[in-house]
Amino acid sequence: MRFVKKSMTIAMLMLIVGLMVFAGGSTEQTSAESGEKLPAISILINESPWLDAFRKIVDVYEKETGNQVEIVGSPYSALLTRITNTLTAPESEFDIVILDEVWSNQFFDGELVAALTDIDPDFAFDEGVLEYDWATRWDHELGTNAESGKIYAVPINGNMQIMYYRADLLDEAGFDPPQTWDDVFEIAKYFYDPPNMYGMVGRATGRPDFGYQAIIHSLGGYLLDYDSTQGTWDIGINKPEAHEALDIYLRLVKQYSPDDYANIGQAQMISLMQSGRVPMIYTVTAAAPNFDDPATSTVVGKVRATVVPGPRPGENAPTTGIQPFAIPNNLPDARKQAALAFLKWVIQPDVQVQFGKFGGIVTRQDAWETLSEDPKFWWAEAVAKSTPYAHGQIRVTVGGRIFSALETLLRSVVAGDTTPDETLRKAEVEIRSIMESAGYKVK
Amino acid sequence: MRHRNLHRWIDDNFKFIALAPIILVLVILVLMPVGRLFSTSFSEVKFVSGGLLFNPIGFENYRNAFKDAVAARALLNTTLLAIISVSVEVVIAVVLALSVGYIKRGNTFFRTIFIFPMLLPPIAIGVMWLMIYDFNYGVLNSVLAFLGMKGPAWLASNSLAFPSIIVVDIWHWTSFVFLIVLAGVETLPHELSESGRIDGATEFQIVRKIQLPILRPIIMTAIVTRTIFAFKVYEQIYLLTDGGPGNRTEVISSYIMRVYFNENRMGYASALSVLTLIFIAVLVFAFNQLQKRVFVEKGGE
Repeated sequence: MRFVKKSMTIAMLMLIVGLMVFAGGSTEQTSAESGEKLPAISILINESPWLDAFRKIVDVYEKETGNQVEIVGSPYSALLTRITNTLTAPESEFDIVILDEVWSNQFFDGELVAALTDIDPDFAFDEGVLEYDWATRWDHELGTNAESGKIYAVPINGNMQIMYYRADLLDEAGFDPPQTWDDVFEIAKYFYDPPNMYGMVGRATGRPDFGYQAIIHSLGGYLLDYDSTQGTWDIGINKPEAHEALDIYLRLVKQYSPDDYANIGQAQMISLMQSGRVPMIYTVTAAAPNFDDPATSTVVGKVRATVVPGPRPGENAPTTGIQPFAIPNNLPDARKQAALAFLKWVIQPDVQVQFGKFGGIVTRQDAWETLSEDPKFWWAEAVAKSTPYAHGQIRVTVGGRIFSALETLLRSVVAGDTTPDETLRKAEVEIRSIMESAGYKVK
Repeated sequence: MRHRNLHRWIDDNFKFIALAPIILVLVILVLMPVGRLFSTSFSEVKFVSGGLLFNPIGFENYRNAFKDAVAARALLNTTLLAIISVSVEVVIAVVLALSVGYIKRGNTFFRTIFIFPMLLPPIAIGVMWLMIYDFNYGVLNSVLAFLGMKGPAWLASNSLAFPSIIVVDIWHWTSFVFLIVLAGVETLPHELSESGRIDGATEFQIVRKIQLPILRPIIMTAIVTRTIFAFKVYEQIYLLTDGGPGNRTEVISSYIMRVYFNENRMGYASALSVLTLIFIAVLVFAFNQLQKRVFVEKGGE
């Protein structure tokens, strides 16, 4: 019995010592790694349809430079958690992380990612690079994205909304591609023949505000606007343009849609277009290849794209939904330099064209213009024409909270739980509360 | 001399040494994370260079939680879902388990069939029911169309979305309750039922007066366990309705996920998690107390 007790005591002590060594060991390993200068870099990126194109362009980089790049894919739903973990660790696991326009600002503001000009003081974008309403920069004094801010990121996925339409059907019926919201309703009414064909579907769930923003901005309205003379923010969600925009949005989402309009998100919109049951939708650029995939689409070669409509021709405001690459601040300088070398390479004009040909959503105006000469990329011209009108999403650190509040309210008004007036009044109150709690001055 | 002292020390403290592994596991796996959840719930968490900044804000997150209409709706939806689903599941599972218990040959086949839904991952179940409920391409509406009827928007209708979710939950989890109850049915003493039959009791009376009272502790365990699981429902909601239409199918897990990940409010999400934890604990405690009271009142029977 005594032997058993003694053995158990020794085993316990060994277990405790082992756990302590294990806990300490990982720290030691990290610090050992930090001393090494590794030419290889690791990139955390979301698994999306354009990931394959990115792999191909990375292969080109590796062949051209001899540098090694490891790509770590993550489902989009887990991306923010992994990024938060890596950016708050003693040393980042990844050399480059992909962010999202909606939540990148909190990392810029907290300086969890490095300002690229801090790594290389000469770093600057040439004029061909699209910065999407300065989504790449952060002005710490203003607390928003602005040209005056430091550059924190390089855009890699230039997603923005374009209007997809069935060229064959519109031609046959004698319609031009829709340029105004009135055109949209006219075409939708003409084709509405449920259950075989619906006129139009809109994004009613899964960030419904993404669809709404294109309308409110096209009408000259805004969700939030920064007044640099006063240093204050103005909330525009309860102004006349916002009310008019909500009216258009609700008609788009409900009037010529299937009965399950309240449950339609981006995936359902694309699916209805692919199955030939709607003549048009407006959604992200990345959706374009879906319509040409014979395995999933019944409308191969029949879809074309144009700029998202507005109240009048030329008054457009497609919403951006871009993803930029950033370099974690918790990296030794050698790793930051290696990461920046890749970012400088991937944003070059010829590389971007090649990336686009592989299926990437490029982030240079000249690359879109070059791609638009190839009929295979029928959507490129629409994007090239849209970029001058591109309108960024909310650019404050609490953007995620505001979008979440808007989602709840927009879903309620779509479901008929609240009136449009009540929805926008509540939205104003909520946005004000969120902004003020984050320390922003609101008019 | 030194050896003797060591042996004596081991003898005196052996109970603590023997308990050390489980205490270690308890501290590392349970107390530390839960402690962290509690401490985070009293903070506002910000990203700063070099890590996370926990700014203590007292009970602010809890005050906000009590004013949050969406959280209240989500908790109400979750509670309703738990009550309705678990009640229906228990009734179906008890009937199925007793039926399978009566089958002399081939009950392995039925047992396998009935536990099948539990073996499927929740995501697969969500996708499967999405294909059943889909307004345009779903199996259900195709069948209705074949019969000359127009199918409704099961997941987008204000009145049908929540019941549709409950149906999926019942389909998924009845097998779990069935499995637990079946384990009890298989240990039922046959002699009691036999003596009941000799005394002229009908099969219904045997079930009601003999088998169900014996099964009650097992059914209770199934109800409590299932209720706890029901409060964790997430994947099916995420895939089928994403909380809509409006917030009619928003449940507390999906709302906490939204607050944590989309809004990045770690402190507030932690406070909601703590409140949910307390709510479930109170519910389970109340249920146990109620059962005990019923048991004492009926003790003479």
